[in-house]
Amino acid sequence: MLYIVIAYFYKPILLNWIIGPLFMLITLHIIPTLLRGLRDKVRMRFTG
Amino acid sequence: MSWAAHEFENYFIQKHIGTKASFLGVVIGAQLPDMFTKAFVYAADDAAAFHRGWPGVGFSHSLLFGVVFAVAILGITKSRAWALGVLIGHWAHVLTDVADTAGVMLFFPFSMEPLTISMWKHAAVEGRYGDAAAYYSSLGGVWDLFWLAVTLIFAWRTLTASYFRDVVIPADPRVWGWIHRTFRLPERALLLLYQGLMFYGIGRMVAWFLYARFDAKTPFQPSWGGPEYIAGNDISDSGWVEVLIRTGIGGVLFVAFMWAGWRLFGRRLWQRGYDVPAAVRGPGIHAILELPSSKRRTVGAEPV
Repeated sequence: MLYIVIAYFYKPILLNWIIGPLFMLITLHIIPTLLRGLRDKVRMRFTG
Repeated sequence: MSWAAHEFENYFIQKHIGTKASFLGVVIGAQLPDMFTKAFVYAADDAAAFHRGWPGVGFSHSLLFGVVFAVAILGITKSRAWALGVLIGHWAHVLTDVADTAGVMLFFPFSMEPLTISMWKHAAVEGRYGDAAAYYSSLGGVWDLFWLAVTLIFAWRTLTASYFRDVVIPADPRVWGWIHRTFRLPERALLLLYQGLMFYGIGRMVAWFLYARFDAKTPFQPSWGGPEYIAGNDISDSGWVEVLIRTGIGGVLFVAFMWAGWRLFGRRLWQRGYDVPAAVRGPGIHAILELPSSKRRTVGAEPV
């Protein structure tokens, strides 16, 4: 659904041909993994 | 040209090839005809003739082009699964593109006559956005929907995690293993990569269809040879008898060439290649452990 909304308004080749096939991997694995890592780093910093 | 159908077909093909060919090979093969040419097609003066004709890059949509790549892959990597995958993917793309008005030179260089059933108009002359709007205003969009339905009804199992684990990975353990190690992707992420192509196809189909309806506002004309609002882009003015004769001669010469190539070096190259254990002993557990029930094919195969 998110891809359809983005693809409707933003059509360059970068999204359509390159990011498109990797969209699920990026949104459901890479971004959550990076965010989790960032959250853990911040938590470590504040809790010692 | 077809749009999302090229993504959906891969899963339907996967259902039939099982562990005999690499899914990633099929995907690359299916992208091969347009991989290096599509960007230039939209910039060409006569987009249809450049895309599918000669002179132009129409040779990329010939059966021989796929054979050349498959032979090169077999020669370099010795992987039968990859050679077969690339060949099947490429041929599927070429045969699908027979449906638009520009057609494909199926037996190039033995016949330069484009073969077409003119189901919808080749509309690259309209530019990338205009092409998408025209495609999703014609039977092309229906063709995508047809392949989506065929895949979801007959090949839905290929999208499951267990199928991916038992069939897709064992059919190509080296490359999936390389992706897993190099990018540190767990199995769940590999599955997302595998399923991603299907969702990409659906997303692409829906987004461009909505673009055609609400942004470009092109009329929806799913009739044979449509849409009517753009001019036809048939690159040949031959009658159907001429097309049949030229294509027939080209086909015979192509088969003769393939036979000679197989006898001269193809067979030797194939015998030097290897099958993955899953293709020899069967999918799933058979790929790892040799069980009494797993012996299916042993001739000319060596474990990786």
